[in-house]
Amino acid sequence: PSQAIAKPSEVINWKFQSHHTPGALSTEYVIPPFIERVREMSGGRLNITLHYAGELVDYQEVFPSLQANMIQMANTSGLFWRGSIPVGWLQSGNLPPFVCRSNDEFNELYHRRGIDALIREGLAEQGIHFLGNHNVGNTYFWSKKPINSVDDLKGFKVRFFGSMSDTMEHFGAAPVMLPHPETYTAIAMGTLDGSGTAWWLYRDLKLHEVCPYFIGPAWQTPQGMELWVSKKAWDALPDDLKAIVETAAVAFTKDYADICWMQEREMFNKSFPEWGTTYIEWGKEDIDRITNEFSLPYLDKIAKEIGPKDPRVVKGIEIIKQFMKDYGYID
Amino acid sequence: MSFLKTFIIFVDNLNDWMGKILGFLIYPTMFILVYEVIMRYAFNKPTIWAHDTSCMLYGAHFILGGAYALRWGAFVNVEVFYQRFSLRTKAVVDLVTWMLFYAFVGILLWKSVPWAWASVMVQEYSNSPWGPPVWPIKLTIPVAATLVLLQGLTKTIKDFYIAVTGRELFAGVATEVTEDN
Amino acid sequence: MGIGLISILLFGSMLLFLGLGLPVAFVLGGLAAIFWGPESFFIIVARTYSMMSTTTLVACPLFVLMAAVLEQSGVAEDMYEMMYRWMGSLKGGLAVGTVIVCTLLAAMSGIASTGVVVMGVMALPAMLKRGYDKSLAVGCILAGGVLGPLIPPSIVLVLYGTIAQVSIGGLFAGGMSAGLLCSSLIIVYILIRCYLNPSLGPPIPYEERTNWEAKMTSLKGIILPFLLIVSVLGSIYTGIATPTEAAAVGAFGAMVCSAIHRRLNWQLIRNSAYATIKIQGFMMWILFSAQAFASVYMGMGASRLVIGLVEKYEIGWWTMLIAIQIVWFALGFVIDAWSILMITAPIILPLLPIYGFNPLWLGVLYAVNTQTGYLTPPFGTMLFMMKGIAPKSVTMSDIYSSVVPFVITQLVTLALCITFPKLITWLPEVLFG
Ligand code: NA
Ligand code: NA
Repeated sequence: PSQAIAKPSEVINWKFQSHHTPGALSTEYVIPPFIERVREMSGGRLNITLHYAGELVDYQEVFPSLQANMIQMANTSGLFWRGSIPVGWLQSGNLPPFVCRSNDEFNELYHRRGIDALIREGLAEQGIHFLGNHNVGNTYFWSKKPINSVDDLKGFKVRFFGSMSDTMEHFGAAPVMLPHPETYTAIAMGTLDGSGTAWWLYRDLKLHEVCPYFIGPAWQTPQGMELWVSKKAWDALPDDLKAIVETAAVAFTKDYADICWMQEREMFNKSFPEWGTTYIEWGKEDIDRITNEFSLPYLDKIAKEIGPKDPRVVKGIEIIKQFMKDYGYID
Repeated sequence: MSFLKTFIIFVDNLNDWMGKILGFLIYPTMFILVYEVIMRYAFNKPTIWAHDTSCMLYGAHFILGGAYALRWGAFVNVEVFYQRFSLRTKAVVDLVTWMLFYAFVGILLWKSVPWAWASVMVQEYSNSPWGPPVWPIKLTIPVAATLVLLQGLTKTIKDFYIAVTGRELFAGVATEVTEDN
Repeated sequence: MGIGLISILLFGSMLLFLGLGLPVAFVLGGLAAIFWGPESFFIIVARTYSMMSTTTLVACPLFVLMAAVLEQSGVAEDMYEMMYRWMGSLKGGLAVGTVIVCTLLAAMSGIASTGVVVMGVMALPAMLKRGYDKSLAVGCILAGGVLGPLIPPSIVLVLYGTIAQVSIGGLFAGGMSAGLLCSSLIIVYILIRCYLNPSLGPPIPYEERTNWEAKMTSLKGIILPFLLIVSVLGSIYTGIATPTEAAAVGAFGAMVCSAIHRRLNWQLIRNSAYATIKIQGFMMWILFSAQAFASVYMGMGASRLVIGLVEKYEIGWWTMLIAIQIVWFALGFVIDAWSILMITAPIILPLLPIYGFNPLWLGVLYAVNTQTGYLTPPFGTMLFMMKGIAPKSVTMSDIYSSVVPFVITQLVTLALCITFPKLITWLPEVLFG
């Protein structure tokens, strides 16, 4: 297939720092096709190399490294910098449970109702060009013992993140902060009763070996991350390459959501019986309770506490609440 | 000369005091984790702050401890060939090779100042559920780099003196005496 | 510039500056700073802050504190006195005891340096005092010390399991088997060596051997260390504490032990703190500068070097297996186990189904192989730790030469695990099916 691709006049090299290790969904099915797509569409003029978790910098240094243009691109999360970038509080991984309940709703809220636009504005002030939120899999939790309703959470020792951890605490669980690599051992030895995050970590970290109960529905549909580009690198791109990266980013978002959804179904249908995992799904009563008792007050709290630092946060929370009303999740 | 001697003694004392005070950070690091274990196991009440706090103490402990370790010659080198050099050769070689030291620690200082300062300006706090301020811990890096640079500078001054005169600046005084606690 | 040339220049400069006696941390950090150009300057800050935020490494200073307290309170000395009295007639007995304690320490900690720093502080002075050969004493601590990442808990194996999609429980069981095999080989080597040449690990003088009163009194010396080991291991395996927290439990326990001995006083508290910060200061500065160095190498395209090697040749099962081992071993000379995994996993893991390698088995081979890298000059992290901890009379040349036989026992372990895969896979199969 020797297609006539013009010899690249000037090759631009970008480094893409991922948060994930080799073999993860993103580094296996999403980032490499993105890189290939950009390479093909640009006729080799934009050459991106993938760096696995922590190769160049760890996740928490991705933001200043992009600012310094040491790396040019990353799929990351504003959640990690909500302590210095107020719009980080609007990032989808930071939302409380049961705001969006499907990937389509997530697309509606972030891409069409304007949350992405607010985040883009906020990040532009920080030297980051923002290419949008994307789905990195739905957020569930799992346990050594059956947890059949919110009431069973009392005393449940769980490792969770961000607002998920706050939710657990609100309903009487005991969130435990532990180093991430110790989660498996901690559950196996009984230091923890369970943990939670994107479903595929239940599979990849082999947590099904120690947690036979998987509890749904997903608290976040989906857990999201974001595509960030160094503003310096972005501004240096010719317009046609900018358009190529934007187009490829849309495909990136779709690839990620697709692979997450298909493999999640495969895990439920094929792997759960093999592993002997019991899936427990909570009913509407529990979902409504969490939404009204925790999620809604939590959103109001964000608007009140973070709003004074950046009015975009207040605006964003208004959009989110209006969205939840329109979809019948709150009154 | 006396100015240089005063400077060296000042830096030695400064880093001694820093190290001796900061060394005690290891005890709160230990007690906090023991407390966390007891609260979680005996009372089912894990804290949200223990691991964050112990980690920050540990970070400050080792980064600021660098200058103290350097002051007491604890930074390991490979002396397989080095030990065969004469006093003067050692000094001349060090004057050259320690340029890498200045490149490394100098860049650490240069790049960490705006980075830490940006954190101070927004009063940055951590993304963990506890969310403590992180700017103090970020500030320790430029401070540590400055202390280590100062300590390295005392070595360069001594080396320079030896290279020029062939004698040690603090003649007859062992600069690496064992600690007299 | 091709990655081959970059590699030669980078490691050539590293050898040059190490040889000229510049402290290791500054060689690695300095090269990381200048080698890649201005765009990578920030890597130094990023790496420093990453290391400051790595929660599992909190265990490091706490184990150093534990060792310092046990050493300064005389508990460590009492323990060696007891070992000496009871195993005294056995040539090399203390070295054997040291390796056994190292194995237990490996089961207490998920990170690599624990055994080396703890036993370097506690065991080395005790062995030197009793006339043990410098090289044997240093070597057995280093060899036993690097068992840390192999014997569970192990952070490296958790990472490998996540990447290669292998049961972590199974990897732990396989690592346990390989670790015990390795530790037994080290002990066998010490016993043979000291049997042939008793001056290396001199037995207790004949006239002191039958002194039963001294023997019984010395027994007291083991009670507290034994209780300490039981409580730290017990706290992990009953789920009371995580491995990181267990280090704090250990340090706290050591203070309780010295209080029981009535030796817990202000001087002990102060001196232990000073010793800890001095060791911690140089050690972590080496570690984060080494990480910056590895990042620069990866950023400049280290993985292309390995890809080139693999793609160039179409090779058979055995050749591929040996090639992987050689690449891991060679990288172990210059970078750490974690960086080796990041560079080679994307290239090696897709080969597993093609060649039919059992991923669990290969994971344990990876752990055995790369732990050898901690011992191989010029960049052997544990060698530098040992140099910083050991008495001044122990030179770098002593340390380099002391590890030679133990690198060989490591390689023998690796060869056995390759030739008889059952050694690794048997226990995981029994436990996990
Ligand atoms: Na271990
Ligand atoms: Na090595």
